[in-house]
Amino acid sequence: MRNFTLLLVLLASMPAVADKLRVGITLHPYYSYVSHVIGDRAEIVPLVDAGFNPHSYEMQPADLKRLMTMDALVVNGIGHDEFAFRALDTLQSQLGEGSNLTVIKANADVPLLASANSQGAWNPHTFVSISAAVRQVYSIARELAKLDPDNGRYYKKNAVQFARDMRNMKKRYAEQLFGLDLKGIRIASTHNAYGYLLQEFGISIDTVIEPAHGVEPSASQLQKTIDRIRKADVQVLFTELNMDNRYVKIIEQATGIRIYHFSHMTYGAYDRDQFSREMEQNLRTLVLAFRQYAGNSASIAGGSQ
Amino acid sequence: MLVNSEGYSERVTPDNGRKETTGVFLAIVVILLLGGFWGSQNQVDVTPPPKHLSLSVIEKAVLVALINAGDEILFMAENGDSLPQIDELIASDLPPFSSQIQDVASYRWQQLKGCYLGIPERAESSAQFMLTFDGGINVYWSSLVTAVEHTLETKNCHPDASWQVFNNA
Repeated sequence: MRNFTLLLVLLASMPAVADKLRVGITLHPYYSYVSHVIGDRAEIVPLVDAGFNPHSYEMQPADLKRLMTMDALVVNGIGHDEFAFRALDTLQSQLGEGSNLTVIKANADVPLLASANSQGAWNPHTFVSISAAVRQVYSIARELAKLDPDNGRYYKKNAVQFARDMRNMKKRYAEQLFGLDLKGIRIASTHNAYGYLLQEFGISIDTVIEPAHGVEPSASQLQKTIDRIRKADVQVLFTELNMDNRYVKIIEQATGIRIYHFSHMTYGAYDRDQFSREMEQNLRTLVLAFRQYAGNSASIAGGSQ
Repeated sequence: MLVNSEGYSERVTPDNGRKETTGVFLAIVVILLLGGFWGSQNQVDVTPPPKHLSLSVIEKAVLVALINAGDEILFMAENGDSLPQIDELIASDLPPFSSQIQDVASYRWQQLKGCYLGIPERAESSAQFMLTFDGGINVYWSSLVTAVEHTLETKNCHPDASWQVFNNA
């Protein structure tokens, strides 16, 4: 009798498990966003195993197999996960209209920045930002609520909580910048990944060094960049953490520019808290860079008086 | 000039298509003139589209914050009948209403019937913003100078052609 009861309990719980939405993601930040939104009421499935390079990844048969098990796939959709669209095309050609997969374009409601050094393209790095991340989390929650109305309110509540947590984090660091005179700051960036983050602080990037997304500059392009940095008096260079950009040292030696490292957020193991952890690290770096700039320019102004 | 053996002579014009060329040319001129006249008589009265207002970096930051605020305001309003007051939004520390963004962009916000309107308080910003909830979250912006001429529409939360709406589609 006891075993029979246990079996009944197990059987009763099975449909609930099977009814859970399976939500796919393409990039690490979306793992964090979706994890926060769904809590334990849906299942999250990375399309690609951890450890891949999103700039150059080609889909594998195992990825396609995983794609076929998903109810929804959350995509960046503006240039950072093109590999997923190739897989979606393959799925479409194999299943035709039979595919029930819903593609959620996280950036559907994000005011986008144009891509530096490329014509007619958007800057796809909306995930290296707080406001744009919050925007995407709200869009994801809204679309998941449509697919799973029973949990819709729960998803929205979690999205609001995520937004509030991120806002509080940003506030802690923004307060450290109050009163700093940043009007004269000029910024370069190796990779076009930090425009959205800096925009939140009212700062734009003057020079992006890579001629195209993920492409190193040639010797002549590097020389032109060095000339441009000198001419425009660019004082700060943001580059990628854990990326061996050989040319960054050359630029530093040639111009005396100060170098700071930001996380691109798309590497390592999938982790619910990766976004908030690495964003906090980026904010710490940003505050350090701005304070050092302000300190330097104040001491230069003081010295010249 | 042709002359035969009997001394008869006749002047003959060359058959080189010159006459036809002149005729075709005149016909084209007449057609063009008629077309131009007909076009000028049948012009549609087109209202010039509003001048595109490019947002500065700071204004873009306000735009993103306002779209995000739209979601949170709707969430806050789900349990009540009306939209939250500006004071409540400030108390919730919700940008761009809260002071969080004020160091970057200073705006004075007011609540109208069913929308929120933000007017820049510093000279470096020239765009004003409006957040409405008519069939979803809508964020508009317009040049402060242009909008002065459209005060009535603004007060009624019905942005006219001088406003641009955010739409990625």
